[in-house]
Amino acid sequence: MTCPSDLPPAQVRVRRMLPATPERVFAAWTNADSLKQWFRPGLTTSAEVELDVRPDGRFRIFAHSADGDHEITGVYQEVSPPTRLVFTWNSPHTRGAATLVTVELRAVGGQTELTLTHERLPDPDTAARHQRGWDLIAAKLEQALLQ
Amino acid sequence: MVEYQHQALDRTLAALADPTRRAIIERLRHGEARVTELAEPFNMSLNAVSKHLQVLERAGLMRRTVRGREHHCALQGAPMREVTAWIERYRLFWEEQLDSLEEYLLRNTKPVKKPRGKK
Repeated sequence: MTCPSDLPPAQVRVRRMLPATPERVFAAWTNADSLKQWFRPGLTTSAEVELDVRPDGRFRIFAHSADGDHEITGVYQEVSPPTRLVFTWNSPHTRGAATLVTVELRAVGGQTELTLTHERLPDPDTAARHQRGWDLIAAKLEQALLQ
Repeated sequence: MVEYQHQALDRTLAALADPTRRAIIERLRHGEARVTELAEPFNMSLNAVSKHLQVLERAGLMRRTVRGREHHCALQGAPMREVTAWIERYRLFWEEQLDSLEEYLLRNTKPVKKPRGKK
């Protein structure tokens, strides 16, 4: 009998109905000008976005934020418009861990069901050290909900 | 103190990394059970099951009470809640991004131009 010492592959999955076609949602993820307008990690005030959307192509999101600058980088693993986008994800929160994000889009009527899976999340020790950042995200969400 | 919390979380996650232990936890969610009852569904010795139970106990996921000759096992919820809270932070991050994406799509009702490709 083995007693595994490694941590289980932690993951989160988020699902959302979006008021647009899969083509438009896919473009929102893969067009730098579009992504810049909605992707807001932390207390982002402005962002620089560089995307090379093709398998093995890199992306870089540099967000200027009230709680410091966040750089997120990764490499596209799969680019299948308009249904599937898979990329690796490195951020200050994952600290070098090769986490993986999969975005799946499915047409439902005139809308799109988006399923996002973020897996291979780093150990909680790393995550806990960055709790402050996540708390700020939570605060921002609360603000948005109160508006 | 914080370091201790991280170690506790690591232990919980390591304890949950095994399918047999996850099955034991699933069984305990329905209520207290004797060690022999827990061993029943698995094709392994009582000794092997005992080792799994020890891992769960050390992680604080399970509490054992000895009554006479019988060991009764019960689930302890606190460590599970810690793991959930940790994962919840990632979930919250993406929920927030998708809120923002939804707003963006509603603002831009006219079709988005094709990606300009490499930038």
